[in-house]
Amino acid sequence: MANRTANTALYVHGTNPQYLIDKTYRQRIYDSLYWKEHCFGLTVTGVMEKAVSLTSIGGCFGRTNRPTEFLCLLLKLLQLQPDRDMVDALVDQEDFKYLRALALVYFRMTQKPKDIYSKLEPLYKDYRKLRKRLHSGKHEIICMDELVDKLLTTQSVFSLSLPLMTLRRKMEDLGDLPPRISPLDETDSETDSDSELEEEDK
Amino acid sequence: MSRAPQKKVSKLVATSGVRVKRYFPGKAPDIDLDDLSASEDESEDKSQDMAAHEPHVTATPADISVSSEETKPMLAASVQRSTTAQSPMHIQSQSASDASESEPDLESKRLLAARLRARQRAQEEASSSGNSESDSESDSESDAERTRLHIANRQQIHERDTLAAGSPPSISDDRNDNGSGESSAESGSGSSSSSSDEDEDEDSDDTDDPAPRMLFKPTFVPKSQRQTKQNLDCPIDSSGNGKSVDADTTVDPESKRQEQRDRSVRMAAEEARRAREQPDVDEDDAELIDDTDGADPEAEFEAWKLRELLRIKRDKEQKVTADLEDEESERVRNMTEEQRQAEGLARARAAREAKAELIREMSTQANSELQASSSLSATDANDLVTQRMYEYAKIKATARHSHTKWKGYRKEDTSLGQQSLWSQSQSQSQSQSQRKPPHTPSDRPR
Repeated sequence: MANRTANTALYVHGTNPQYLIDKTYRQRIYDSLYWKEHCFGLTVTGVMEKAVSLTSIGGCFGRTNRPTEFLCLLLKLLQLQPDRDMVDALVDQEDFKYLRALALVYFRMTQKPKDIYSKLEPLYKDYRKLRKRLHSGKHEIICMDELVDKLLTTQSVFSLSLPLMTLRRKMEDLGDLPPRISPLDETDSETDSDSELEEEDK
Repeated sequence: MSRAPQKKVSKLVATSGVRVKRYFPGKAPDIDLDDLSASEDESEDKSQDMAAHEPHVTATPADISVSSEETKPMLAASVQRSTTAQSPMHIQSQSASDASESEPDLESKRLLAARLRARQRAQEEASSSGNSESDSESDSESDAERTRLHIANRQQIHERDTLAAGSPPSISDDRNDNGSGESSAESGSGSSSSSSDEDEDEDSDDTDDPAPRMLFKPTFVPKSQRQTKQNLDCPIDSSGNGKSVDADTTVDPESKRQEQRDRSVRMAAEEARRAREQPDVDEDDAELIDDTDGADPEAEFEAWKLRELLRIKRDKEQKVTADLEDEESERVRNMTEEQRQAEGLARARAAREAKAELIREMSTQANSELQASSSLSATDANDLVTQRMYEYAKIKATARHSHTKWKGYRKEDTSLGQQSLWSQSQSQSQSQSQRKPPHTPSDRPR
């Protein structure tokens, strides 16, 4: 009962949204103490509260593939399938970086490529530090923009195999997206053009 | 065997007429007196009978003894067991006694006798080695006797080996001096009593008759005489008493226990050290790594800037390669078939040329090196050989699937186009500059 996806949830990428996490890691999450204790019967609000007090991101670590709390909450989100505007709000908010990280990973896993690119690329500007738990169990610092870059260009992050996404180049060719304008270019152009208002738009 | 069960035998098979003694649980088996003694012969005959039994019976040492009265019931038991294996003499007497039997029994009896005769013949053949191979019944006794003795002898040797494994000298002595050896091994234990029985029949007759394959009865070795890991050396002392020889029986296990304790302590210490040096994964070093953001804003910004620039650069490069690929594919698609083929051939030729050029370069390099180190006159023949080997190695290396290395008889002919090695070497030394060196100097076997 605690491990079933919500009744109202729609299929994502053709499968049960929980199946977006591999069976091996999913089973590890189900078996973990954190999931059983804290994630039982949680609502989206509850997930938000727990995410706020996160201290690291990451997948499974250690010899026993113990899942991070981050991963457990991610699975919980997949299970609950919150509304789109809720997710948007979570990604846009800047107060809690771990919550933001959680939301953007969820976004990457569930939404369409066009939305992903348009939503996540502004996050290249955010260079806040996050603690990442490596498979060995040690921590390292990773910045938010690095995380975004990984999500957009690679096919697996932590122990998650991300759903395949159209290449940005292809989308540009098709005309769905404009070519990417880096924040650096923006700032350069702004220093050239001496206007600060443009920065806020992008 | 006065009353054989009257059974309608439709077809005579190997087991026809076999009288099976059934076993009923709780009921002692009947001792058929007729089986015990063939006729009213004297004990001497009886002993010979029993002796003749031995090759057929599974060799229990107890059964081999002859003149001891105690073994009679055991003998009877053994005889009971071997219902089908009977001495020819026995059969003879049987058949004689059964001469007055009814017709159908006679038939089966005859069969039985014939079968046994055949078996005995086979056995004689097996056991005889240079002995008089006489099938006559008069010699069968002696043959059987000899076989029995041989088996007894071998078994005794085997027993001696198992019991006195730790004391080699005693064995060699016992070969000659059986009586003493046997008595020495003898003790209150049950196993040794059997060997004492053997002792009496002992014969220092070491014929290498291939005795019929026998299973030896597993003999019990008391704990003190056992050879275990604890006392690998000399578990038995010569007196044969139930005491082990090694003097420090009390100290050894103690010291071993001590050693084990030490080992476990050492292992525990090592693990503790390892745990100290490589702390457990679960240790929350999250606090050790600081993820507060405002610590050094400029440095952070610079780092971010660098990252962003690298990303831009990467994107550009990817774009460039993608564009080039697109261009290339466009171009090729627009060409006609002949143009494409021509291009492919040109490319292949260019690649081959480049490779040949590379090899030539390498060879000229090697050649020049060779000339530099010129002490070659004595080793020309050697060079030729190595060159030949080199060519062959190349051929081997370039052999392709389903291609054979066989180039035809012309290639195999050594008389064509190739002079003797001597003349060849002369001409080679003359035209050294033109020839390709067999190996780069480093590869040459020295």
